[in-house]
Amino acid sequence: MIIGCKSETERGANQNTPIKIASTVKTDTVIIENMAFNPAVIKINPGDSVVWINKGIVAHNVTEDTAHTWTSGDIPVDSAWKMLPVADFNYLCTIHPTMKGSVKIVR
Amino acid sequence: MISTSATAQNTPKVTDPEIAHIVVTANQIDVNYGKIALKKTTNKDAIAFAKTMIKDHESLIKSTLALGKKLGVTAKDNAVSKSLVKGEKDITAKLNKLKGKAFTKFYIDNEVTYHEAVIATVKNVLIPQATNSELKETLIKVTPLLEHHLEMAKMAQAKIK
Repeated sequence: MIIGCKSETERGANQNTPIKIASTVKTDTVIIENMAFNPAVIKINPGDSVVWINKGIVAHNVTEDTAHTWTSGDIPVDSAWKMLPVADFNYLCTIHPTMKGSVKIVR
Repeated sequence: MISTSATAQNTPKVTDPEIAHIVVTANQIDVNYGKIALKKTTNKDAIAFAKTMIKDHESLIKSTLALGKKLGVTAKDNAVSKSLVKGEKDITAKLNKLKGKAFTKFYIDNEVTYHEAVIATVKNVLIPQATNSELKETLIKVTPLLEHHLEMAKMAQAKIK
């Protein structure tokens, strides 16, 4: 279970009471195959993780699209990489830059 | 250089061991071109492209050799491989003579032509004639990668003009 704090506007009598964000968290999957991320746009719930599984024939990576601020590093064939998104982002494979995807957190 | 237009009359006949040899040879040639490019070009798009070619094609050589070992298929030299190697000698001679922007343009233009020819050979000659199902499946799986490389080469070509 993932929990967080109430915003200022939401606080009532119990100002320090944490609220539940999601009752169940899970891991969503993106398959890397045939030179594409599938699904290209993945919508997840807050608190969910995303795992990228490389079922292709060469290494790929998952790199933040705008300024390459973070990267998974090379994900070898038949390997996976997992992260916990905290905000929406677009990404690409810098080895094969036309391979692009995005993660959207459904709030 | 391999022809891009194989007709029924002039389509070479190849066996699985010959297909394995052609695949390794074709990949090695592109690695070799990429290594020349990394020594000679300062264009960042060409450098990025060459690095991807070296990385991907070296990976494909490794996986092809591993598959051959698994299947008990020993790569066998053949006329198509010999033609590829002859083409490589001619192109390499030109690459070695050129400098600067002329080199970069020739390198990328050749990558477009080379990938077009290799894709045509894989689709029209190798896949139809591969008898081992795993070899055939591997060739089918490699096609999107080669097409992606061609797309990348064309994008680099458009920037370099």
